[in-house]
Amino acid sequence: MKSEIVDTPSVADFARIFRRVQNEIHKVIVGHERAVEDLLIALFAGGHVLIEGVPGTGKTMLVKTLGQALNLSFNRIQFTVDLMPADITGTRIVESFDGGRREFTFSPGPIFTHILLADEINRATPKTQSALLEAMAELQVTVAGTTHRLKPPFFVMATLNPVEMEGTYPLPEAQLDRFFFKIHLQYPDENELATIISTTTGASEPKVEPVFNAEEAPARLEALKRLVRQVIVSPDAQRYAARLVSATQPSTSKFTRWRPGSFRDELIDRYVAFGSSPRGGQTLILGAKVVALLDGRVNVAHEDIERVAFSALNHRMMLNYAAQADAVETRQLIERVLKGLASQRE
Amino acid sequence: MQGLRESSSGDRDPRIHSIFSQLALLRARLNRQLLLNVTLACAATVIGSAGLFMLAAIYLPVRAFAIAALVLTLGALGGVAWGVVSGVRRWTTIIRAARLADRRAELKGRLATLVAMAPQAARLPLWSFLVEDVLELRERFVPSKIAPWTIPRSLLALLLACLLAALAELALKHKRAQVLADLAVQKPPTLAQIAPALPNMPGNSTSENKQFAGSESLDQESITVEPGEGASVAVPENGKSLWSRLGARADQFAQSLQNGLTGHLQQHAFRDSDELAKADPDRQDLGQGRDGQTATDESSGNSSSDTQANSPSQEETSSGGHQSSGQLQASGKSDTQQKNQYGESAKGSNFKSAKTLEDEGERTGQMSSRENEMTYGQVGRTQSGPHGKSSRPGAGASHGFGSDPEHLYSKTAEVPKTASHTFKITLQGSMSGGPVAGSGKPYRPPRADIPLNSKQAPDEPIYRAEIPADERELIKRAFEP
Repeated sequence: MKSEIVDTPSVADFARIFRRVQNEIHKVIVGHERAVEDLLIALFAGGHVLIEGVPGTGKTMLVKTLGQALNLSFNRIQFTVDLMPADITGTRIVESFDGGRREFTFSPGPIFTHILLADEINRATPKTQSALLEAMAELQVTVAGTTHRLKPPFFVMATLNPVEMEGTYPLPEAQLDRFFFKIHLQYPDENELATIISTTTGASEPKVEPVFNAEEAPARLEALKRLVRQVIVSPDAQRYAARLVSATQPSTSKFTRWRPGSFRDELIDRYVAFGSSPRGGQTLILGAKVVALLDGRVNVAHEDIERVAFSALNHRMMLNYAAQADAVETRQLIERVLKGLASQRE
Repeated sequence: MQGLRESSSGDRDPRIHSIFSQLALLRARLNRQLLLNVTLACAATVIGSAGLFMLAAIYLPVRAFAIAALVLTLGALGGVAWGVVSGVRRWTTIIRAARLADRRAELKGRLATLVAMAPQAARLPLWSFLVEDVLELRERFVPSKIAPWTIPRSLLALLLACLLAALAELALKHKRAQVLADLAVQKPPTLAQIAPALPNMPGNSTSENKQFAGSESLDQESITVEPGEGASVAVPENGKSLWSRLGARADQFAQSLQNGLTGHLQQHAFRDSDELAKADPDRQDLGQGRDGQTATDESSGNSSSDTQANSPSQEETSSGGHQSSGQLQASGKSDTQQKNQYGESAKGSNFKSAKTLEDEGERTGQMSSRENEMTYGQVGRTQSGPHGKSSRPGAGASHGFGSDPEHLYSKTAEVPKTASHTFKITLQGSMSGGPVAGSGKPYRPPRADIPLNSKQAPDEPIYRAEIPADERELIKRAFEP
């Protein structure tokens, strides 16, 4: 009955495909359930992901496995200090043709793919990092005055190494804001570690089954992304997302238009230099839509927004030096805001 | 149903209609529960406050009672207002009902989204899916499941308030019994002990008159004799600030209110009109012209004691009864003062001296109401004019011979065991008349105000007792010009 009503794919299809991709990834990736789910949420919502984790936690493996599961093209760029923008976007080269004719032709860079892994993005210079901006935001790159469209789906996964920070270039806030989620990968626990050791040191390696065939994979994925956009969001849920975003902004900031009656938290005022941008609100709703579909619903609930709140907001809140001095983390502040808003709602 | 009416597609969709109908039922149920809660909460507030009010009246002194009464009154009014405002604010709309159902049935916002988005249903590709989804879960948000009828917390509050009120009533009864028991064993001071505190009359020691007349600031003075205590002279009241006077007024009002609430501590002992008659044997011999009034007193004055403080007309009707019971309250006093039956200070008086005479029962002798009247009439006469011609009810005039000094020593009454053995007399004096020798100040004879003591019921008679021969002169000096 439902499948007749909704466009193809159906809500049930969405959840089924999502879980199947998830399962395929977990054939290779042990643990990190929450991170994998967040990664897929961002993928189906049409966003890009920044993954932060210490070396050896499976960042690169995760991205590679995702590409295999979706049967989409996959490229990897190892960001280094001498990496140039043209190394990412591509450049014009002189090509010789028959008869001695030579002309400039565009040679696409590794960015022309469906899934791009920007490994250790913070090791490249800001100029190179910013080469990703246009591609991430507008699905296009401009080289020598010519704009080249990227083929959807385009999904960037950038990794950050929180150690060895010397000689790195922290991502500017503008670029951070363009990432849908920031996902933290932690060390696996003992059981997970034992499983990792046993599965990766044996004679046979786990094989990932593609969920889509190669020809229809991009279209199927785009159809699923369109379905996500159709999920119904009530004004109440929209207001909740807006209040959540506003609550991350310090009322004392000159950039904040704080109104009496809005949620205000003392710790936010004390420790946050800049709160979430409006993109944070968009992220909350889009992520919540995916969560709703996974739950078999076509409406966004407050719980859906809360589910994605941390991943959506943690990299959009800039803490000040007081927070560093007091060892205050973004997670604590977001949880505090969520609790405060929940109590107001009741 | 607002969302349904606004929905272009909803009007034609029976599925949506059935969902909204169920929500409307839920909404009505929630509002009924809300109304019940608010009503019970308001009743609990009022009854609880009344109970506390009564307890405060029983146990607190006047000033504390005044404050407590103000706080409780404001609290009760505020509580009721808050209840009403809260009820209005919590009034359930269809969207609120949907949100509540979402929360209680764990529908994760389905219903609220459906209600909120119904007007835009045509633009939503997944609208039909949402409707189907909600229909499938329809059993989860039936009104009886979402808002079952349970014992409301406000009912518990009401029960607690009723319990408090019952406790207050018990406390009142206990207090009455305690007062009676105290009175039975109390040893009041003798008249001789009180004598030095009696007011100065024009014919007596001029030096004492000079004392009153010679001091400009001594416009008012209060002398109070309490049982077991000596005489005490209160500080002059004139010249106090506006706040002090307002405070005094508030105290008067509070005392009046307090007495109105608890002043019938001994009244139960005098419910029988025969006892009133026994209290004043002469009363039975009075002519019909006076008896008519007495009859009114006995038939209605006693039973109306609860309301007489608030009803001037009723008070007039029962004034004879009050007088016959020794409550001489009317002479030269305003209605407000009449209401303040136990008030120790009289409105508008410039000089006040108060005495409390504690009757020792048979030993000291009991004064009849007429004697009191007479005394009052005499003193009142000096202020208000000819003997027995007070313009107000009471003042001894109603008894015709209330100012007859000889009546002070009539035959004694038979005192019931439960009767009060104490009473208080307050004499008020103000400066008037010609100059007193040596002072150059006019002398005004004291004006008498004889309220009951605070433990005496409004309609309780003061039984005529035998006055010892050696105290008769003292009594005459006190009550005769």
